[in-house]
Amino acid sequence: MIGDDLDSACKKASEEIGIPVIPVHSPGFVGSKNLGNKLAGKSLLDHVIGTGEPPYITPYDINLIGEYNIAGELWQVMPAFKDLGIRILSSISGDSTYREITYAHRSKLNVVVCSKALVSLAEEMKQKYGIPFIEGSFYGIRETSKTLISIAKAFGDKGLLEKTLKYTREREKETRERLKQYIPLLKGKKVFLYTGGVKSWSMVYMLEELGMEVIGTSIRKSTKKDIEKLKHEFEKKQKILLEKGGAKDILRIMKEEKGDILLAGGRNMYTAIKGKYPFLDVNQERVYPYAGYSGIVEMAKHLVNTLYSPVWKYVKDPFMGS
Amino acid sequence: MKNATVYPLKLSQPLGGALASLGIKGAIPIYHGPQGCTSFSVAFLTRHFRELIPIQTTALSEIATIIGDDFNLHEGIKNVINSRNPDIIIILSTGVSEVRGDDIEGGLKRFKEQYPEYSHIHIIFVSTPDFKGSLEDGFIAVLNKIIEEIPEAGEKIKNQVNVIVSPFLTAGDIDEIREIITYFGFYPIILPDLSETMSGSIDRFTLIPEGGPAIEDIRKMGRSEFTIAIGYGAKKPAQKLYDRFGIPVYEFYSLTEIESIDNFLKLLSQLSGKDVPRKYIKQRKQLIDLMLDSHFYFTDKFISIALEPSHTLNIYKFIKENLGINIETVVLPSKSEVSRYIKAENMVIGDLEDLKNSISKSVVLFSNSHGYHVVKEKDLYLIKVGIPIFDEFGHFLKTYISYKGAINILSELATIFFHYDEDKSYEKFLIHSHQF
Repeated sequence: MIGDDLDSACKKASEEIGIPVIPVHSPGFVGSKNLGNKLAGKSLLDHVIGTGEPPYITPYDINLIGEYNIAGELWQVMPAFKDLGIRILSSISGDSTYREITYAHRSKLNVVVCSKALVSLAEEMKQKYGIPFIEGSFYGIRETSKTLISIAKAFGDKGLLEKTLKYTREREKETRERLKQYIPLLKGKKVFLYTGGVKSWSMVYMLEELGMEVIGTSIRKSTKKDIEKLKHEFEKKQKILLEKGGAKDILRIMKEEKGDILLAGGRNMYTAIKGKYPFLDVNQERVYPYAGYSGIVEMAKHLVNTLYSPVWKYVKDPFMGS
Repeated sequence: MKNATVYPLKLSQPLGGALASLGIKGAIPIYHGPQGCTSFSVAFLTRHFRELIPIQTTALSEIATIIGDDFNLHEGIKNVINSRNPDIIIILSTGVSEVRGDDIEGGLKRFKEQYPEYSHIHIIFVSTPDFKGSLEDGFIAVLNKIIEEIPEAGEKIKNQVNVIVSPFLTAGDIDEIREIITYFGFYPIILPDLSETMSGSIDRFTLIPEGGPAIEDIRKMGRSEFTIAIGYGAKKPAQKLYDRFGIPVYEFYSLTEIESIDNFLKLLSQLSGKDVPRKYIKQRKQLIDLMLDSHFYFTDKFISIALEPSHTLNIYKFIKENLGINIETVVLPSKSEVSRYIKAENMVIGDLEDLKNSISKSVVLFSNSHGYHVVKEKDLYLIKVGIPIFDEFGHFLKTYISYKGAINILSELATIFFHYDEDKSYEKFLIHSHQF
């Protein structure tokens, strides 16, 4: 607001201390968290990407864009890439180093995991470096497989595709086996998902894979594409698409729709607790990773834990009227 | 059964007997055995309570042990009476006197015949061989004997209540119980009451317990309206009061488990006609809120317990029934009926080595200070409870029962789980990160 020349200040600082200093024009009074993501992506493109070279390259180098390694989710999907012989050149920006991002332009493919925040970065990298991009998600069995297969397809390599198809089939089977003990406990439980962006639809799929009934979801921070996907999934079913809402709206929906459990961010944990509803934190402050094949098993365990906790037996005041 | 004990968990019966005696006004326990038996117990309890521990001994020498007459017993009793002027003496047998087959009961009878001038002093004998049972057995044996010999029948005393406590209760616990019972308008006689003798509330040099129920109070226990037994071990002495005087007994195997606390308050409310105070309703809400806040971290969690039987059951019921946390291993120091009420993946009667060998999934161990050896080797967290606690100040003042106590335990446990999961979420970093 006072008109600081951030760019030249950064440049000067960079010369003085010998460490790159990157300006991100992210005024706090404009836009939301998402805009900040976008602006930082722009800064990476302008100042970081293309300034370095990788130690070596492989034919199967990809970048993951919009993967923040929440609770170690990147590490959870990493084994799949390793098994398939695909190398993650740069991860923007979960568990990444500055150096790794400097040579992101040498990747063969960009995989955008969180569409809203950084799809613009992928678009611009396509223009600038000619790197194609695909969008995908690692939430749920179906989406994880689909994303891995689209990556393989994007490489146009028949061998890799066959390998991926076989791999995903095997992992799906194994994951379904591991889920067997949880699914009867989750079947038919009514869940309301209050999150945003890519999770608003990908987690719906994931919960349905667990046999749960999604009574609705929120569509804040979702792209048009996200919403389309959702509408497609919810077709013919009367579902709630909550545009914007506070704790009171959430509790009202839970009550009206006879919800069993709320899935939302940490801030709404207390909405659920005060409303005496089981809850699962699906946003960034959590410590449990839900991505990839092992992620859905992890999520199933935590859903069972909160739904079947003995604590619900004790929430009623036993001295009422005493 | 292995023929050795490694990292012992078991504490001796005479130690438990002495512990019970220390919560009675004017009581002196005498170990009938060699000095070594006694000095170890004194050192042990001194380190636990950080208080003076008035245990005496008949100091059997090697010659006295061989000769085996009443001399040491009689002289020991006389010395204690002359130097301490106690109201009650509790003779506790040891391994030596039990194995030698001393007729202590007879010796005591002969003492009473020979020295009628001491007839105003209660002298009781309790068999507490240290090669059998554990601390809790000795503790309860003393309470049983006291209740068999001292309380007298008579007209009911309105609002007077007997409270028999198991050995695991801290001063904080006993004070909490006293406060609750007193609130409802009852006058509790707590047997034994270590909060009055071992919690630092006596601030002058004394060679004899100056607090706790006096002989006069114990005599009146036969005239109470009802008896509350806290912890599984308290059940038998309470039952004896029923057998002798028909006093109704209300048993609470746990007072950390929520439904038991609810029932405890409901009972007092019903018997007194008074409402449950707002204070406890508020504490209950706080506990439930804490359970709700923390239950997200209970997925797949296991804990293990190595404590005296009644203590184990008290904690088990809270952790398993209220929190739904899995119990991997329970080690009891000696055979106990409480094992009937406990479901764990492994149930062992044994020592801390047995515990160590049967733990693979636990994050937390509930045990006394000796549990340190196990948690160090197995890389788990120790929540220190029980006896002895050598390395924590003010432990005996903490509260582990009632809603307040449950809050204390849960806040410690949940904080550990939280950090454990947070640390674990970074573990994969070491495996997967930086593939170059």
